[in-house]
Formats: sequence, C-alpha cells, structure tokens
Amino acid sequence: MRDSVDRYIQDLRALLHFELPEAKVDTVTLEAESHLRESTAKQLEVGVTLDAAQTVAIKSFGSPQRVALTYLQRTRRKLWGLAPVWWAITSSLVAIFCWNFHWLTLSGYFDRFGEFDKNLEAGFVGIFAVYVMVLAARRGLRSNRLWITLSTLGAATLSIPITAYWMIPAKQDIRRPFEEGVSRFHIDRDLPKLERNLQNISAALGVINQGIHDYSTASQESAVASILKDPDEVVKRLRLGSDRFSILQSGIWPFYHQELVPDLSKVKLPPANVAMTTDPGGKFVVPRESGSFVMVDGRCWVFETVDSFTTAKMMWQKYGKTNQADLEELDRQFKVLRSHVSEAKQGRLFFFEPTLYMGTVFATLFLLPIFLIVDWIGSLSGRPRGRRKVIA
Amino acid sequence: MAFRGDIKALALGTLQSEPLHGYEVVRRIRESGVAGKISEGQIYPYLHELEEEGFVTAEWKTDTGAAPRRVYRLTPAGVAELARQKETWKRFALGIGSILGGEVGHA
Repeated sequence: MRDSVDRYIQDLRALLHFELPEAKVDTVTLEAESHLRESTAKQLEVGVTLDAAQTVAIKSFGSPQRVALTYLQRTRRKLWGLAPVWWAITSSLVAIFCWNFHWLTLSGYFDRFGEFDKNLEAGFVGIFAVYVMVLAARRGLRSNRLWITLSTLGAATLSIPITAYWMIPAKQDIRRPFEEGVSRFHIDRDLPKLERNLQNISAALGVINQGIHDYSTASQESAVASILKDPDEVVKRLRLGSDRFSILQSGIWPFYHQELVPDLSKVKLPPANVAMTTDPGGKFVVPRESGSFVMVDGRCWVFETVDSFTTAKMMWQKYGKTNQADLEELDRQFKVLRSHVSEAKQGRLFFFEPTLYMGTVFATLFLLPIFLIVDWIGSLSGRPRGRRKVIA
Repeated sequence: MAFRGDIKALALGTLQSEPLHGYEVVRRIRESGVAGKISEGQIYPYLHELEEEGFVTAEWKTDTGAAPRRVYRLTPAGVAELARQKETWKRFALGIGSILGGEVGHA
C-alpha cells in the first residue's frame, strides 16, 4: 500500500518528468525518498505514529513544487552535456550544409520548387537548430522529448498549408504526378522558363514522332530523316528551354549534390543529350531506355546516341512509343502548371497537392524518432555513475 | 545576513572533514541556522550543482542496512573551491565587521 512518501515521490517525479533527463529524475527521486525515509525513521524514534512522522518529514523537505522549481533553477545551462553555443554552431553548420549554402543567398527555400523537399527538410533542420538553441539557453540540461514531439508534429502539420500556399503545382489527377512547380514568389521569373520548356518538349516530340515514323519502315540508314542522324542539331533544338545546364551528379537522400554549369555555350556537350555526360557520342539519335524527363528549370533527359543503325532501329522500336507517351504527359503537365500559374496570378491562394506536401510531412515525421533518439542518448550521457550500483 | 552562493559554500564546508550522505549534509546545514527559509529538499539541487561543477562526487551506498544513501565527497577542485569560499567569507566578514563593529562600538 502506498504511503505519503510514495505519493510525494510520485508528485515530484511528475513535475520533473518532462523537464530533466530520465536518469537525473531517477537520481533525484531516489535521493528524496532516501531522505524522507531516514527523516521518518528519526521521527519514529521519538514515538510518533508513522503518518505523523511522514507528515513532519515531508513538511521539512518542502513541497514537491518548491523542490522541483529549485532543481530547474539550479540546473546548469547545458544541453546533452554541451554548452548552448556549441549546439548553436554545430547545428547551424549542419543546416547550412543541408541547404547547400543556398540559404545564405536566399536562393534555396525561396527558389524554384524543384528542390522543395530538400530545402524544406533542411529548413526543418535549421528550425530545429534554432529551437534547440532557444531551449538550451532557457532551460538548461533537460530532456526535451515532449517539446520535440509537439514541435515536430506541429511543423509537419504546418507544412501542409505552407506548401499549398508557397508552391504552384501541376494537377493531382495526372498519371505520373509532376513533383515540381513554380514558386509563388518567382512567377515572373519562372513563367518564361515554363513557356520555353513547352517549346522544348514540343521540339523533342517532333524528333520522337519523326523517329517512330521513320524507323518503323526503314531498312537502311538512308531511309531515316537527317535530323535523326545529326545529334548536334537535336541538341541545338533542345537548348531552346535551357538557360543553364546542370548535372545531377550524385547524392544520398536528403543531401543531394548538384553541380551547376552556368554558361551553356562554354560546355562541350555530348551529342544529343542535354544532361548526360555518359553519352557515348554516337551518330544515331535514339530514345532513352529509362524514358524522357524535362524539368521546369530546363534540364532535359530525352535522347541518347548509339553507333549502329541496327541498334538505333531496335531502340526506336522498343522505346519510341514510351518516350512519346512520356513527352505527351510532360506536355500536359506543363500546360496544367501554366494554367495554375495563371490562376495564382489572378489571386488563387492555395494549391493543395498531396504528392508535394505529403513528402515533406513524411520526411518531417521521419525525423521525429531521430530527434527522440538523440534526446535519449543525451539523457544517457548524463547518467550518474553511482546509480548503476543501486540497480545492481 | 546572506550572500549569493552561501548554500553551496556551506555544503562544501560540511564535507571538508569527511564524506557525508545527503541527509547528513542537509541536517548539518539546517542545524547551522543560517540556511534561512530554504527547505531540506531545496538543498539537494545545490549538491547536484556542485557535482556537475566537479567540486564533489557522489556515490550510492547500498550497504547501509537502510535505504540506499548517496554519499558526497569533496574532489581536489572542491577543496580548492572551499578554500576560495573561505577566503571570500573572511574578506566579507572583515569588511562587514569593520563597519558594523565600529558602529556597535560607538553605540
């Protein structure tokens, strides 16, 4: 049966539960109980009842609220064993790294939304860094799991309206959801790119249609149109939509690395492929095995080249139609995007597009257990060595 | 009369001759009569703060025949800190004494 001391300890634990690391709460409550039991025993020696002895012991010890408050006031201004300034510096460096240093130039989160997920994830890391810094400064060495959980859930929820407001996407009912869009704050800059990309897609479709037609009947090289044997000419047409050239070099989510080459004219491109450095530089233009893809900012993955007519014919017969379908779909998506941009310019505020905001929501929720594990590890690092002996 | 940090100085002082468990440290400070309105339970956070600062170490003793006790012991840094606190207190007491003592003498 629980006595007054047990109830006191329970109250003290409840007050400190979300404020101090679990190991420290254990130490505090064990020590308080030890004190109260010993104090009670001293009172019993003078012949009072157990209830009376416990009441006196508890009164001398002070109310749980007073004791808990003193612990909070006397806790050192540290978080997980480090001074706040080191957390601030370290987490800021991580956030800036995640942002690919774009944040400093305001060209990351505020830029086109082709990198939206990356930027938003980096944004949350940055927000978490600031949040940790504030908590560390205000509350000292504490377990922050309640606030970490609440703020992460809040950030995930809040990301839906923010995303829906910030990004102008393509439509939900499109077969292969278009995961790009135009930043509401860069409409005037991106709209011309959008228009040029539509021309780009149209040009690529022209080549694709020509190739499908010619290679369906051609038995020799001379039977196909000259454009299909002139990669440089194809590149020239596709450059319509590109005012910069970029290579998706490598990357492990979420730290994509992107290399930008600003002056297209100075880049020696492999023939017929606007975005692949691995193209062998063959004579015949062929559709890509993995399909066509065009992005809002002008990057294109449309054609490759091969050396022999036989291979070219096989590639066109095998992948011509699928690439044609891809380009038609992209054409539709870009047109939907254009109409949405037009709606935004006329005053529409929100574009709720699950394929966009759900990625951010899941990524944020994915971070929650990581934050909690870090918090837990931080609590363990504060575990007093003596406590293990009690457990043993 | 009190100055900021005196509870920590008192706690260090109680440990200068021997290691003590929390209950005994608290009892001695309370019995000194200079702890003011601070309750017994409010003294422990000061002990924990001294531990975090490296001035004392604490170790649980389970072979007491009663409830486990957390025994505090001065570290070399704690000994040095205690000496510093003593010196501070001497200067403080001398300063106060030079004024209050004079006034008392005139009265």
